[in-house]
Amino acid sequence: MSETMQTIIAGGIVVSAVLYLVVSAARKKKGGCDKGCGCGTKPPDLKQ
Amino acid sequence: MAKNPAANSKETFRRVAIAGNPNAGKTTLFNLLTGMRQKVGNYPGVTVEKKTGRFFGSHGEQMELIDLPGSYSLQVRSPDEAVARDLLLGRIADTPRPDVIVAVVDASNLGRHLYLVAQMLELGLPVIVVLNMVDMAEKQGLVMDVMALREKLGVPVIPMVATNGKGLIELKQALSRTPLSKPEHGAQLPIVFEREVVAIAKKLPDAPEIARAEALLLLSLDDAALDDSLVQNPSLRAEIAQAKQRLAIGGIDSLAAPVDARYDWVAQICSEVIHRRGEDTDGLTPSDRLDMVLTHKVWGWLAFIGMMTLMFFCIFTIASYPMDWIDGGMSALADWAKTKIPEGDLQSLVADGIIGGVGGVIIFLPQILTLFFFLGLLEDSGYMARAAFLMDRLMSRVGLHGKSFIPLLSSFACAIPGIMAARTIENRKDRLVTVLVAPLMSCSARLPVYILLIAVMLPAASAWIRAGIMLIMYMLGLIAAFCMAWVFKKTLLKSETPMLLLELPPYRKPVLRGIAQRMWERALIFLRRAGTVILALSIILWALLTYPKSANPEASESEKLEQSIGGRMGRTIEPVIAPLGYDWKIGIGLVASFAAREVFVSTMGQIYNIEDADEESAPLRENMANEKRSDGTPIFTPLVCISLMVFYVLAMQCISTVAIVRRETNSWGWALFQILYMTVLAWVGAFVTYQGGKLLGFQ
Amino acid sequence: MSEDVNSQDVLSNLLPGERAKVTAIELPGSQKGRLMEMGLTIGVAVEFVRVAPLGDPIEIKVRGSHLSLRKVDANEIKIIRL
Repeated sequence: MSETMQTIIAGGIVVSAVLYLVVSAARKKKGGCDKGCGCGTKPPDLKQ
Repeated sequence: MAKNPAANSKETFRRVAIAGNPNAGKTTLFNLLTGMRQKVGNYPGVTVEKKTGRFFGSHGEQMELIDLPGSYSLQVRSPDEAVARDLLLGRIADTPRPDVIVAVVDASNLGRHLYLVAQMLELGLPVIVVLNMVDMAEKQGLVMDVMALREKLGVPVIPMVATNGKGLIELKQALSRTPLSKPEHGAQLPIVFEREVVAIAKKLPDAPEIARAEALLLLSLDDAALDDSLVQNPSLRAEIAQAKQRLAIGGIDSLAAPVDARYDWVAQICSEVIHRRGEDTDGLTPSDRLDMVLTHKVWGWLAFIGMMTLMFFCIFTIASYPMDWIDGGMSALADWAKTKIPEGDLQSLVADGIIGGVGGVIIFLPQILTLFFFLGLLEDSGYMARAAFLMDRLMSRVGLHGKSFIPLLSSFACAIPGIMAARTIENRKDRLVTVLVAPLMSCSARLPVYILLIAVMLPAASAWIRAGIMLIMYMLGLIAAFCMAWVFKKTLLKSETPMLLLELPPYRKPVLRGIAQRMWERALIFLRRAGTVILALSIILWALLTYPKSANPEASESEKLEQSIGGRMGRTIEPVIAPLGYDWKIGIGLVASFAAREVFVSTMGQIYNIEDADEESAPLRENMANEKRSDGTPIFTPLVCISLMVFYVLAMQCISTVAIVRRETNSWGWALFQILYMTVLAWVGAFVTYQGGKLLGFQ
Repeated sequence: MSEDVNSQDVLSNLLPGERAKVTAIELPGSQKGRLMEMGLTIGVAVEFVRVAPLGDPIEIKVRGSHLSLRKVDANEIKIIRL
């Protein structure tokens, strides 16, 4: 694989990464712990 | 004989709701019924999770199960509390009214647990009572007359031990019975009160039984809450005010009357149904004896600190084995990638950016799981309530709630559920204060940063010392949270301290399977985040560190780094962070971790591995420890490491948190304020640490 | 000493181990409502268990369960000793 080829593929991956973040940020509007934050704890029961 | 048509169909045969006091064992029962077939979702507009699942009845019918939040009463005083009531009255969109309620009660504590059951019986829905934890009741010498209880309540009563599945078959049989009968008994309200309830019910648009239930709740609500919830319906509000007045003149306290009526009924049932076997002991249960130690003036504190230290100690020792194993695996993977992909950008992206970046975060999975394991133990055993009991005085001094301690304590895992849980704090200002300080409680994302820096600064130290330093960092976060809460309550957000009313449940042996299940869920979530957000960030980071390239092919790794966008950003903020002891490479790390704290580790991984591209990937900490400034002195001295850790304790570095705060406060103002105050706090804290340390002779 | 029923003795005055009966709760409606729903109704018997190590809050036993509340609130709960 030539170097230029590598750079192109790498560039493509980078762009996808950026797009991914932008899209998921836009989708994060709704939902509470939307499980994208990696915590996964449950909120404590009410009235405790 | 026709087969039960529902038996083999995929359609839901019955919808079941589980209700009960907190600590009655609802969750255990839910897990017992649904196993892995459960999912968590959201109700719009509130923090409460919507937990649903599926299970099969005795004849194989498909049943849907929904877990109601644990509560002591159906009365509604906040939006979150409205969820249970609205669900049971069929008011929530997309969620039909359940067909049957399973009310879980603690057999050792019927005197209070049956109160909620009394309310359930007023809803016009079939109810099945699960008499849970009968084994514990037995041990305490209590003998339940289940037949009599069944008779007096007028509904099926199933004795169970949810933790080992005893009684499950009988429960499923009761749930599968067709038809289910509606309750016939219930607490008797005073006639005058009942009359007013009926009158109000007529004015409500719902079906008769639903209207009655609603009217009953409204009539027994206090004035302030009524004003709040009926702000859209002033005529109804006025009606209720008049009804309460009429009752008052007749000598009936509308707040107390239904509560008294229910408790009188419950007390009478209990006296006839519960017998104590043998002699009345001095009443001290094993749980009471444990409390005599754990809430003792001296032993209580020692136990608390001891437990925290033990937790951190385990994080360093037990978890280090799998950690090293994963680390080795990642290095091997990177080396293998280098053999498969010839030199070039793609190789660098894959080996350094992706594997280095994501791998650098994944190796912390064992430690994070250990943390959650301990938190799970503390929660399930009932100790958390004692922690709140111990800490309340400090919390209220600062203007916070003793109950805030539990959400703040769970912020040790992640601030986001802590912030959401703050919704249960009715007072708006107190809620805001809790939300503003929650991120100061060192969350699990900081763990990789602490561990890395501690390893860099003290490579040969014992696990005890390392655990000790970690404990200090956690304490620092705690103290900072308290101080800032105090400051906020004194200045921006003055208000009264809210009332504390906390139950101290009996100690219970934690159910390891439940904890393991939750740990597994968290592992999946962590890995998912690593595979998505962190992966994307690592890739972008790699690009920022690689492009633009230096024109000079002979340039050193360090010079190449400086040419990149990332390098330039680091250089730009260097003057600002130099007084804190940091250099521009650390600066890159700080900038990158604004999105997520763990990215600091990935960044360091990429920066210091890039430097080392030709040799075998040496452990990151060695590389960092060997790094020198231009004048030859090491960069990552112990003082710098501590200063950096202090920065991470205090800084706001999590886009997800910012997003949640914005959502919870409905404005960008508070979210931005939070970023601002925490950044300033972090800078000042690190400054004081570094300069102060230098004054004292450290470097 | 004669039993003065109007003696205005309050929950926070009790010592560990002492038992009493609640005669009045003089707190705002929503707080009073919560207390009652947790079992602390007028006429119920309570047992004082302990004070927290820092001096506050207190722990009481009501209807078989242990509840914790602050002295400032317990001061508004009138009782007569049993």
